[in-house]
Amino acid sequence: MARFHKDTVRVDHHEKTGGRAAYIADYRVEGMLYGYMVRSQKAHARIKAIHYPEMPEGYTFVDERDMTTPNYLRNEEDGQFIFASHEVNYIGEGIAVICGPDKAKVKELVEKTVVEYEDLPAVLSMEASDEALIAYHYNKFDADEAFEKAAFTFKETIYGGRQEHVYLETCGIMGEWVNDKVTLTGSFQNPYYIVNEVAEVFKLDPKQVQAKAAYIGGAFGGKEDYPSLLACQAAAAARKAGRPVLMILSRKEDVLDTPKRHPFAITYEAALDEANTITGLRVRLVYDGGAYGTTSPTILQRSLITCTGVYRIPALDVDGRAMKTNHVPSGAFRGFGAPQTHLAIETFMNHLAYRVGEEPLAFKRRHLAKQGDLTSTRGIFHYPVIVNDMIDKAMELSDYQNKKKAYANQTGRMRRGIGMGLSIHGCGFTGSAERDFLKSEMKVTKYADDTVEILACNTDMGQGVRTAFTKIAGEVLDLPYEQIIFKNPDTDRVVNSGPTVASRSVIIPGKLLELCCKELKEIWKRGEEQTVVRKYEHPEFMIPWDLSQFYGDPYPTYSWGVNVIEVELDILTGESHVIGGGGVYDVGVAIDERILRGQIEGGMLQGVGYASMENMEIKDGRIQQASYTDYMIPTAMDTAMWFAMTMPNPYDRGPLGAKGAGELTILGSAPAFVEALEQAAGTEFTRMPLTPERVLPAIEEAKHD
Amino acid sequence: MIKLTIDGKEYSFDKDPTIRLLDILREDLNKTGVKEGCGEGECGACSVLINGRLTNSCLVAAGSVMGEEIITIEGLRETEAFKVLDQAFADAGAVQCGFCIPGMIMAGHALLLQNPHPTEAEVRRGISGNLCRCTGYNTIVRAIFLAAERGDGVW
Amino acid sequence: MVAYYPETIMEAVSLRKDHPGATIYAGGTDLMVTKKIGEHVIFVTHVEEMRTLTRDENGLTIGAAVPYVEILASHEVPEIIKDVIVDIASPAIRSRGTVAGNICNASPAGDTLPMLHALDAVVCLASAGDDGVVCRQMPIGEFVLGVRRTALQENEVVTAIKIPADALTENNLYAYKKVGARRAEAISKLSFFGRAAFGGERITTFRTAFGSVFIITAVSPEASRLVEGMTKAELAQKREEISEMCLKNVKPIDDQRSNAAYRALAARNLLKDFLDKVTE
Repeated sequence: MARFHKDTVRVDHHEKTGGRAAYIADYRVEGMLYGYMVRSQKAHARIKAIHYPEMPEGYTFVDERDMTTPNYLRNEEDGQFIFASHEVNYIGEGIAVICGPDKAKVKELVEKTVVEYEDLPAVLSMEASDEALIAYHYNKFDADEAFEKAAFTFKETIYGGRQEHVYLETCGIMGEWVNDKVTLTGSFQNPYYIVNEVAEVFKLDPKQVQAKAAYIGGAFGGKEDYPSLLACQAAAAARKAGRPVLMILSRKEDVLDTPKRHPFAITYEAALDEANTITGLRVRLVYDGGAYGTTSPTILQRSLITCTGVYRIPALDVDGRAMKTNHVPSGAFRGFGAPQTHLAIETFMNHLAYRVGEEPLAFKRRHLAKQGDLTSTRGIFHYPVIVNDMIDKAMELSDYQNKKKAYANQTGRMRRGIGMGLSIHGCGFTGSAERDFLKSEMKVTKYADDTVEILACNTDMGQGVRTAFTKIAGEVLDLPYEQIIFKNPDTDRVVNSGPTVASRSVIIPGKLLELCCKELKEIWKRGEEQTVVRKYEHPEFMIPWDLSQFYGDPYPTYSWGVNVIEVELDILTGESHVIGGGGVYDVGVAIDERILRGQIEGGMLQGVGYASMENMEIKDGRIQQASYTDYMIPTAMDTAMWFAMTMPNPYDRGPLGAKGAGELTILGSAPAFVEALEQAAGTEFTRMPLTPERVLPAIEEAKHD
Repeated sequence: MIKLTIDGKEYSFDKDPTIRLLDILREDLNKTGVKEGCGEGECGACSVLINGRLTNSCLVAAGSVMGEEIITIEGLRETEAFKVLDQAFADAGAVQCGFCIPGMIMAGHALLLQNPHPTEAEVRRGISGNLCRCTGYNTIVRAIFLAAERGDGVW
Repeated sequence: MVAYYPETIMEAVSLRKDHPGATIYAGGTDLMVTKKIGEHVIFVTHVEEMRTLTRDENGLTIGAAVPYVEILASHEVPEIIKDVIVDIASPAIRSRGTVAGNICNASPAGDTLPMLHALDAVVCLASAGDDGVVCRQMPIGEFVLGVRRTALQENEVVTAIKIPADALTENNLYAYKKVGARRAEAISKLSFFGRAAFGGERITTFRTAFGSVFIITAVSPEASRLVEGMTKAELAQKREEISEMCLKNVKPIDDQRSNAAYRALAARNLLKDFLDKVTE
């Protein structure tokens, strides 16, 4: 057995358990000031004036008037400002920073700042919005023809809510200027996003911007692009104050200002032939995009590409749009648009199966994609698809058929149900971005003492990339893992190996790392310093991606999952909880089974939370569940011991055969939960999450039917 | 004057007695192993032991615990109990981002102090005030079991 | 901010006399969230008489400074009370939080309130008189007046909560349910506590109490008066009428944790289940 198949103690384990690992809030620098934001109290208003209290010596405020360079992010059209200028577009939007040496005093000054507004009409729901931040449409062959010839059609709309990341560490960044160079240290996934954004805004050469990742207390996509905004605010504050400024968001600020998973409404309409096989599908997806675009375009792309889940659908007519509202921007969150479509397609397929009188799993199995099939965008599943075997395995491990039967006719107060969710995740960034924009590099340096350092910008937010890369390098170089160094990245030292998103770290930079190490091994000279650099090469077998047509291979390959969830429901109260389940995954080859198990179990529970208790509503522009007291994520008592396993299906272009894994794990448990609860409740659901408030009336209604 | 015993040492602070114990620990004593996740007693990242009992240091007025024995992760990490927990967390793969972990270890330790051989349900209840978003908890539950098994006599 | 550390009830009440309305701090788990702390703070943690938990022929007395964790650990405390306590918040909060704090906080969602109502609990209040400590006792229903409002006078201190022995005997039947968004660490969407005691064929005591469905705990003395003395069969016969009586004060609202329609429906279901058990 290869050494890397064995589980390894994480490289950062002991620092974390003992509390020595320094997260950004733990940083202390001589002369450092604390910065807190004055934030919008209005969903949509014109700022008439800002009245600051008198600033004691050593305290200062920073707002749009201090931005001599552009005051906007990304591009001016999108309209998102570093400091809201003239107008605010959601409650919580940042208007000004106040900074000073004493935290409590700064907070007091923030509270005493009065912003004068003039209310403007606000768009308070996606239904009320007539402006799309982004919209796409595509066809795969002729769906209309399928509907014309259909023997049966079925249409249904599935709704889903807003999900909050609940990384345990709130966002935080420290900005510090030394002469003309600015250093941003903090909790972010993508150091080079920070470098590029700050350089752009402050008109600096990227070499004048340094981004250093601290230990990161969870991210899940929530620290993908938002930190670029915070970095600009911290840099502006530090520049004006002439001192390092540490900005740590309070939990409430973090809830108000950072992006959430897009709430959705997805309407599916299926055309079926006489054999009850789907011949065409119409898909209409609407997202609440919030006030600004952020990552909505790329999220929408992934959503639309994956709107068919694991199924082979011959013809498609797909339309999707993210609507502009006066809500906090929606944005990146583990799965990146796929959790919504999975929740919807899996639930729709179940309901469709009931309509045609077939057992859902049997119906789904008849429609599974296999190797060589066309994808939704007329790309090809180039590699073996083993999802059928995975389903068999999951059924065996969960005693699925017996339980499905046993739970069919229940009486009494507590009732059970079991369900299965199938999932697919395209590995890496969507489309041709790897080739056209990211152009990742990897650098490995061997020092004279024969230790080897990985000089990549990928950040460990808990997913274990430091350990995974260490193992890949150690395995290829045949060195003890202790001889491999991979630190939290500092852009003054590392190359741009691309963002730590889209489950791409292992398959893209991880692959480059494998290639670097292979080369290094060949030229290895003891006692000498040597450096190897590799650049990304686009797989030639891919059908070139055309975004304008949604045509081609948006991903080189796919990872797959099968999840089972078993629930118990109290029919007097509509409360439900998970009593069993698990997941079987194809992620190529696991670099570390134990780390992967952690991804599986954590991702699955986020999925269960998404389908069940995690409920964030915005009413009149105001988030109703703006604290951990009201926004609930599962505790240790809200889950059960699960099975978690992988089935090997090596990917020849992944390092050591590996594919992407992190995001996949959140996709299947949510629809599995819904199916299980539908069985327990004896009714169907189309609006998630399935809080008792939704479940109990449905049970009552079903009684009367 | 607030007089406190923290990690075996005595300290005096001339401060408002209702200041959060968490602020004393992080700001005055630089015990940054104690984390702040929510500031309202919901996440458990700031957990410490007071007289052997698990407590959210964000919900404790420093003036209310004079004369009581306060142990933080930075005190615990010097003990045998920590060594057992640390290794168990490593072997169970219970650590991901790590932000909840010092609090989780305090919760595990507090539980084992009261109940050296807990059931699965008791472990889940014991850490039910400590939120973790990365792991889904099961690896942590297994780690605490492992520690209970290996640490016979430590607790 | 001035802090005081009384060691006796006499010292505590004297402080409240000298500083009317001074904040009384027991576990602090609510106070440190609301931050509503006055200029004078009385830490009652060290008042030995308030830290005791006793059970005798008169019933159970829970000192006002006894943290939940000690109630859970006590052999004197019946399981039904522990069932309620263990559902409160989290282990860390149960290490310091107190029943007295829960009732003085007077939240409509206070976890101990339905239980205390259904068990006929009494609140012991003390103040400083000319010749020492003056005590008075008050049923829980008279103590909690509204949202964050109690009958506690500015010069008074809650010293203990008493639960009468009658409410804890074996001929009591209990039903308890807290509905939260999750299985631990949740503020209740609604909660229910029912109790019925039997003497021979007759129902001698009948209590229903709902939390989080009105500004105060929703109880029905009328239903108690009507049912007490009935046989199970008689109760079964008048079930509809009694049920409506019990629900009369259930007037829930929509908020960030739930909605009125759900609360009303779940309250009805839980009551139905309790009545099924009582008439069984």
